Amino acid sequence: MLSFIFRRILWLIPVLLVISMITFALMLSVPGNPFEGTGERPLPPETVARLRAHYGLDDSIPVQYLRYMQNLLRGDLGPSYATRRSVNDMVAAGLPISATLGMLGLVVALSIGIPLGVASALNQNRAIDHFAMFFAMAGVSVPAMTSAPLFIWIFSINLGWLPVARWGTWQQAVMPAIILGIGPAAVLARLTRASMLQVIREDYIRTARAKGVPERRITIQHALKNALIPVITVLGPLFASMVTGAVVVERIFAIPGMGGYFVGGVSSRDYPVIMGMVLVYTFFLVLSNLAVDLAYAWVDPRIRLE
Amino acid sequence: MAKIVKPADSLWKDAFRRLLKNKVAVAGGVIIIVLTFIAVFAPLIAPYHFAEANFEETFSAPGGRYLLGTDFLGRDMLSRLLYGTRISLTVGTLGAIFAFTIGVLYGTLSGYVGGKVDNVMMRIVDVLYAFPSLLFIILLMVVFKTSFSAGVEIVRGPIVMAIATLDRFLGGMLFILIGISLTSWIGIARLSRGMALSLREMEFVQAAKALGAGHFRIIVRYLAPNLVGPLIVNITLSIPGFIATEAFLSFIGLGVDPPTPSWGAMIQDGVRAMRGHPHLAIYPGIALALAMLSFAFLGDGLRDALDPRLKQ
Repeated sequence: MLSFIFRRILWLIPVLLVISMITFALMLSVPGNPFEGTGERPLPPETVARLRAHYGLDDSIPVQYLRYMQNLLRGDLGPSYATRRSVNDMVAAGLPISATLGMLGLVVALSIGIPLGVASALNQNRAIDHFAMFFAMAGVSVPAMTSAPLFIWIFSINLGWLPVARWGTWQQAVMPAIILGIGPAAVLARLTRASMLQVIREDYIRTARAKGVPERRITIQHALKNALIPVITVLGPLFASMVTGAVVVERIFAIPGMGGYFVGGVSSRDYPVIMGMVLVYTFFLVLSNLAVDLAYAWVDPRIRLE
Repeated sequence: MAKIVKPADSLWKDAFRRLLKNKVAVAGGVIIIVLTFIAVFAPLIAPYHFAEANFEETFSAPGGRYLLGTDFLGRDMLSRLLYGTRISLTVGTLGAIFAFTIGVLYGTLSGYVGGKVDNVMMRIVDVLYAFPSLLFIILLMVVFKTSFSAGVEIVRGPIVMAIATLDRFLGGMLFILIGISLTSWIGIARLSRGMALSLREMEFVQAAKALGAGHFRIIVRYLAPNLVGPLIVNITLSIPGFIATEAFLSFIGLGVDPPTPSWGAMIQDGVRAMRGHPHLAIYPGIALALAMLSFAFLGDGLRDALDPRLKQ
């Protein structure tokens, strides 16, 4: 197990290096420079030259990259070109909010998806099953861009139950968390169902039943425990899609998370912000994948021997 | 000896019959046909041009002269919704086809050649796989948008100019397609490598090899027919994802160039006027979900029809 963990952590280094290089190369391949501006009044050339010198943009690309990585290792993501804040500031302000939203979404996804999948498998081809699978199909295919305005219209504007937007109170978190969690819930429901259907046909389930184990205990302890193994593997990619999907939800509900800074950086072509956000996102996603891999290896010892 | 009552149907005929029995899948297929029709004949169906602004009647309510109302520039919502079908369907289907072409070629080549080449090719895929594709595509779009749209005056060679002109002609769709194709093949390459590996070991392939069939014959006669079914299913099932990606990019302002209508861009415009005019965000949202659902239901039906064993 230890060597497995070690190998997985070692693998992080090339991944993050390559991703930082790709991001850096892409950012620098853009012609012109961030201070020339597009459409707005151009700055006087002396000012641009001074700004370029100040941010070290006249050095060669490898030098710039090495300096960036050096600062990164010290935990410094650099200054934002478009605003007066540092990228660290933005991450410190946005990340806790985005992480909270992501975790709430994950809680919604797990608490809807898994029970639904189990209920569906135990009632195969009955009404519950058909309903659950229809929900699963719709949940996957209805994006937040559709559900968020609909929810706001129904629950905020018409019924007045929940606030329209912003962040801070629990009421404001309800709709964003549900909207963020529904899609992943649908994915989890389908997977849990398929996995449960396979497991409940296994011999050891029949054995348990023959021994007289209560049905409830069979479902939870014998079947679900094993059925959840393949479900764990998708949690990593699922969380990744939720975190990036949160950009839409944050924007529609005016939640001041990372997504807003990222989109803002994109629209003002603020490269250090884009670069920093991509690296922070990727770091957390790679980390969550690692956690999922470890959890997987822990519950299923066969995996460690790859 | 029992008499053969009915001649055996071909795989495809059989699958098609099973598909027709699946009402939800048929509904999905019908909606897709209607949407395609709308996309092709949008200029004939739409009451107004998508960019025609009427500043006298901004934010007008549905009904009257404008069936679904107007947006913040007084542009007809219905016309923009109808034209929006074009971008969504084109990016969805072409994006899926391009991504699968790259991914399947890469994956099967890697799996078929094997050895060191396979190892190197798959490590590359592993690293890229860790890069969240939505972030990757955002980066690519930033680069495309800035390098090609803003600096038109910068002399950059005829090929670059031609690409930029073509993209502007297509309302920004070309770069969305390139971005999607470049970022979405990675997962597909992994899948198809696995498929190629397991197919290679199948008994009927081994038998063909033992009988002296060459590489070409094995690929065309034995491997390809077994891949076509799953490929059609997977392409159809991936289309909703590509439609969503386009909508997402246009939503954050990296997709189509205004005034080209895209449902994602319309939702973004609508959300800003959510309190007073919620329908501006809701209508394009429904169109988006409808298109995505149709492909998902059709793909699901196709999967059940082509491989009845999978249906549990």
